[in-house]
Amino acid sequence: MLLKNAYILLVAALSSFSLLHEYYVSITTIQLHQNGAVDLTFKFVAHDLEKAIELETGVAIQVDEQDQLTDSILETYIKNHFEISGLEEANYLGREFNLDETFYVYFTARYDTTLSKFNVRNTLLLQTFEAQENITHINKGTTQKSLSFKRNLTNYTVNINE
Amino acid sequence: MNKLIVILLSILVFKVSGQENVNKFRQLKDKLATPNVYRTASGAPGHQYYQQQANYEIDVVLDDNRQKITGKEVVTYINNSPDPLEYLWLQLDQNVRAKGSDTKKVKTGQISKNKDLNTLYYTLKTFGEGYYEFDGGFKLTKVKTITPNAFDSFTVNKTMMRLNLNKPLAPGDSVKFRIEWYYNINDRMEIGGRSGLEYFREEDNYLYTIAQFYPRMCVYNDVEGWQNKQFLGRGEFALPFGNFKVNITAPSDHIVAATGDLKNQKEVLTKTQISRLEKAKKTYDNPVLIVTQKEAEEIEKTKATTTKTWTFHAANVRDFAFASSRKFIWDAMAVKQDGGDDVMAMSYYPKEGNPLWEEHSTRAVAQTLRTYSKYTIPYPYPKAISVNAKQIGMEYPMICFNYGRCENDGTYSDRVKYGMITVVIHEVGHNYFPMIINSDERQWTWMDEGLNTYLQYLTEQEYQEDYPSRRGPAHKIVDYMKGDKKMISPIMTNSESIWQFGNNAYGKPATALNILRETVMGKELFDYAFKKYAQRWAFKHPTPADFFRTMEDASGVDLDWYWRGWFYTNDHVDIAIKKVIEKDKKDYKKALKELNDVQKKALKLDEDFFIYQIDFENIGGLVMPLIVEFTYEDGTKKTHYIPAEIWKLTNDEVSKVFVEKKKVKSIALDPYLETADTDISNNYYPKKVVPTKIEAYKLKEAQKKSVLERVGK
Repeated sequence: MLLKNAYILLVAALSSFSLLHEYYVSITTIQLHQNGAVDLTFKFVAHDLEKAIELETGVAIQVDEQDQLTDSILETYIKNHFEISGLEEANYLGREFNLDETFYVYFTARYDTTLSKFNVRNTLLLQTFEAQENITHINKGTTQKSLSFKRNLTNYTVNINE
Repeated sequence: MNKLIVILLSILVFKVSGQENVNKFRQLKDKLATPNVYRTASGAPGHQYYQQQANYEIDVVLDDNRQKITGKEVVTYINNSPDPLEYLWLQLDQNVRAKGSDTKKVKTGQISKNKDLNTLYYTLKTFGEGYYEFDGGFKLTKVKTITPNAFDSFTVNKTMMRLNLNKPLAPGDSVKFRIEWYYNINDRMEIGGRSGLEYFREEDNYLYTIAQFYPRMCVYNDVEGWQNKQFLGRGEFALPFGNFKVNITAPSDHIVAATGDLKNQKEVLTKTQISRLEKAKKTYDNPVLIVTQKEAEEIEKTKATTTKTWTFHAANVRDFAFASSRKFIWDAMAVKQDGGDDVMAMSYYPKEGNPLWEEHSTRAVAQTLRTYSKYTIPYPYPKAISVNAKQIGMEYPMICFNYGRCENDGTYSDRVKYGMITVVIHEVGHNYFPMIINSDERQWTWMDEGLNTYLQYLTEQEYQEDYPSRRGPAHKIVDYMKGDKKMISPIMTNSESIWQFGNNAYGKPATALNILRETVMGKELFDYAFKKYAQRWAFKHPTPADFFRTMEDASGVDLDWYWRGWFYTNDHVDIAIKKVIEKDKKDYKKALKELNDVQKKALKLDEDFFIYQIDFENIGGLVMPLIVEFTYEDGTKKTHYIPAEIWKLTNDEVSKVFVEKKKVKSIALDPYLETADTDISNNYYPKKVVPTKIEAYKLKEAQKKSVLERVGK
């Protein structure tokens, strides 16, 4: 499954002109529950994510294909590019693909409920698409914090109580 | 004394600034140009509206051995404006790929953390000099006037060229001149581009999609004067209408697809092809193959050394493009349209696109023509072509280039299929916006992409029920609109400076129009006004104000608040049910006792009543209609639709009283997600937990298992 023509793909992925398919936005939602459970939802444009993984790892995946290898590649890619302090036991839960090209990946985890300050790193797809933006929402109770990650903004410290 | 004046003045200043009208329903007059003789307050062209015309006679040679275009053109430029023109401007769009182009110079970036070969290659090529430099751009070999003494010199300014007229071109006069040039065709797959070549290495063959291939006149009009925004690569084109006569010389084994009518089919097509084409003109249900896959596969095995010249004429188009390859399969069918002539839907594709393309391309073209002509004007050109071009979607008059390829074994997934149909509908749809309703793309991407994406959505839903449309429904824009405001530009932002291009210029305006139609105005009023805009501005140059004004003027709906909110700000919709107060008959016991029988009858006091006050809070900033659904204790439901004008006095909070005959159990605001409300957790009374995406997923997965499996037995 090694990429034969990486240069060509890279260039095509980075072309700056705009045709039908400029999306370059992902949405991450971190739901901190009062009982210490954490739900993590990553929403991607499917073909953007496939391109990013192919360019970074040399492996071409199809996110609509149901197999364990794809699950494990997705899990590794997301864990490499997304980090939040104070989270434990982050477990890959599953994924959902829709024909409108939206694609969701789910994780669950635990956190220490006494914590209010979190360091968040999100570099998903940023190296592949110059215009990529990762909108990240952190929710706890009625509080919602929104962060926006870009190439030059990959780390935030957020206090959920402030 | 002086002190007093200062104090008085500052009070005055304070007072004035304190009174500035920030009401969201104030009229848009501060944003829109003052109406004049060229453009009226109704949004229609004014009585002195004018536009320039540029006619072209072009001879172009496609050199398949050197991948080079050589061209000659005679341009006739007609000054219909009331202004004498001291110079003329042309666009040299190929110069975007010339050495030293500003596009590369202004490209921003940071050193990547990745240290792999790909990243290094990209970095060197993008920011370095002398690495994989492509010798692109127009090489002008002749720029000469034909009209005696019109000009002696010209000035190239990057992607534009000025002809320095010896004396001004008077209103009503025309000037004729000749330009000759050549350029190297870019490899699209290597350096990108809206047009260029694709190389098929295994068989050593090319598929050319050629556009921006000739020096084109800029637009001169009452709004911009001459275009003065250079082509940097993103903001697309602004072009005057004109008539084209184009001779394309290509290898004799190529099939050429182009804008316009083919004028010499006997010289370039075989008798079989001509008779198949005639059959296609009378076939309305299925595409007819003019070049079959078997024939194309035979032709691509060898290479002709001779050439053929194809002649195309096109009237009243703003541009011309073509595609050429010996790999082309070609099919066509006729399309009937209400109130217009029959037109041809056609597709050209290599075997790599099949069987997907023979099944869907021409049918998608036909559907696009049918739907768009219903909502705008009958398709006015003789044909619409979809050409298969790997990885891109790009539009020109009567012809567009679209992606979608099958696996080597001829299979394709639903994803590839819908991706391909989506791009075909979108690019064919561009025939209307901006090719016919000819807006200035260099200034406003949304005027063509947004309007087109809106009609694309309607077309997709007509092509197939429950088509997986990517954009259109209100809820699909929520993720974008609830994002960090620092990174969201208003729609009314110049094409070159937009953040999140796809969401901003395609998704948001398309959704805004869809919401306007379905949730604000109603289909009948919206469709009439939208069609009026298309009719008024077909074959003309509209501006945003012309669109905004026509939609209001033709519908009798003041939409200034909607345009201001959705197009001029980055506010979002988040309306909440803040508080609910309930009263019923027993709360008014004392008052009721004081009534006489006549009064009791008038107030229908033999019936029950329940009074509810709902306090609504506008958190997101956009004012929108309130869709309030009551569920009564007996399980029945009733929807109150309250127009957005409920916010006209206070934009942040309103209270409303509802008198009901039955006791209400629960209240939901926008229950069917028709307003793009970004936070629906505050839309319910009593408060309701709306399951998140991941919670819904967990439930779905759990439901797949029996209870014994779930407890591990």
